[in-house]
Amino acid sequence: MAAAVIQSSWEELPVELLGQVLKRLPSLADRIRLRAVCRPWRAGAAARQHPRLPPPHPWFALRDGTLLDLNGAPVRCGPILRPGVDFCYFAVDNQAFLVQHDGRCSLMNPLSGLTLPLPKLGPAVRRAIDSSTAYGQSYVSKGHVKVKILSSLVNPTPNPVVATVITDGYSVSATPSKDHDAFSISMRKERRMDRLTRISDIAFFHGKPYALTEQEGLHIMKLDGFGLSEPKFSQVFLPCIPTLMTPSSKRYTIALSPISCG
Amino acid sequence: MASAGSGDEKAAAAAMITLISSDNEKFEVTEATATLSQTIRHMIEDGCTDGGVPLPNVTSKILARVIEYCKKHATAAAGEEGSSSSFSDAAFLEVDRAFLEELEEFDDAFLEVDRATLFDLILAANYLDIKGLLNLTCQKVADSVKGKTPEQIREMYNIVNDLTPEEEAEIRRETQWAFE
Repeated sequence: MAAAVIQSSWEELPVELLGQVLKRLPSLADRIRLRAVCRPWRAGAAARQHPRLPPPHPWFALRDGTLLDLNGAPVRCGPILRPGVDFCYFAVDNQAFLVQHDGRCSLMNPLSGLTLPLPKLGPAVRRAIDSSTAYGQSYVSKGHVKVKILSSLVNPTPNPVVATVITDGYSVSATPSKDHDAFSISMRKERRMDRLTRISDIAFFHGKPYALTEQEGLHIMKLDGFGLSEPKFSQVFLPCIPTLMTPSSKRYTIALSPISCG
Repeated sequence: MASAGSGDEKAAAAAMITLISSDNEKFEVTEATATLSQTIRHMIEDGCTDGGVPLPNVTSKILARVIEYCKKHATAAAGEEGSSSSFSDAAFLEVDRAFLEELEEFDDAFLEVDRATLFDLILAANYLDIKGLLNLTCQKVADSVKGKTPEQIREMYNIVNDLTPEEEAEIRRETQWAFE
C-alpha cells in the first residue's frame, strides 16, 4: 500500500503527541527550544494548544537577582540587578520586585524584561520605613520588606495590587490599583506597641488580601476606597479570626495563597 | 505458579485475535496481548473482531514491533498476577523487581530503532491507544531533545527549518535566555 512507503516526517508529529513530548520536558528552556525547531512545531507546541500541560520546573531566585534551575545551573536571562537597582525580591507570577537606590519600586518579569513601574508604592514604603523606630532609611535597600502581589497565575493582570509589609511588623504599604494612590498604615501611630497586633505576614486569597498577626489573629484587609489621606488601622484591618490574647512565641506564615478550593 | 501459568496459556489459546496490517499481513495474537491496546479492547467488547481486525494505519513492519512489545508486557503482567498469590511478600517483591528489571531491559532494547521507526511507533501507539508504549516512545523523544539546540534537534530528526529569519529573530528576541 502507498501508505507504507511514505517517508515519515517528524514535522508532522500531531499536536497531541507534541504535547506528550512537552509533558515529559520539565525544563522551560527545553520546551522553548522545541518550539523553535520548525514552523509546525512552533504552532503545535504553543502553550495555548496544551492548556493542561504541567508547569515547568521552578527556578530558584536569589536575592541578588540570580536565577538557578533545579540543577543549580544559572538561567541566563537579562540582568535583573541593573545599575541603580540595589534590591530585588521575588514575588509570585515570576515577577521580581525591584527597589532602586532612590527608593523607587517596580515589578519586572526577568524572562521578558518587561518592567512595570510602581511610582506610588516607593514613597509609601519609605513613609512606612520612616515611621518605624526599628529601622533607618537604609533598611529599605536591605530587604526589610515582604512583598505580595495580587494577580492570577491564569490571567496575569497588567495592573496588579502590590502590598508590602515592613518586617518590623507594624506597617503595611499597598497600591490598591493603578488609579489609587498607594498608602501605608502604621499601627504604631494609634495602637500601643504590643506584639499582639504585629503583622507577621500578608497574603492574597481569592483576590482578597489578608493579614495574620503574631497572635494568630486573621484580618481581611480593605485596600480601596481611601482618598489621599492615610487610612486608620481599623478602617483597613477587619478582623476575621480574633487575636488570641495568650502570649505565644510561635511565628506563622500565611499559606493561604496556594490553597484553592476548586 | 506453574498452574497459574498454564492456566493463562489455556485461556489465551481459547481466544486468539487476528490483526491485519495496512499491507494486508495477518498476525495471530492472544487476546491478552491484543487488549493492551485500548482500541482493540473496545473492538473486542463490541464484538466486532470476527474475521480479523483491520488496522489501516499500521504497516506490517510496525505492527510486528508493536505485537512484540505487547506480548512481552502481557506476559509480564500475567506473571506478576500469578506470582502474587504463590509467594510471601518478600519473595514477591524480589520476583517483582526481577520482572521490572527484565522489562526495563526489554524496553531499552526495544527502543534501539531508527528515527523513522520511532515516529511510526509513536503514531501506532497513539492510534492503538497503548499507554505503556506511548509513554515509552514519547519519553525517548523527550530524553533525546533535552539540553539540545533547535539546530541539533533538526539534525537528529531530519527536520527542515522552515522558519523565516524574521520568525527566528522574534523567537530569539522573546526568549533569548533559552538559547545561550
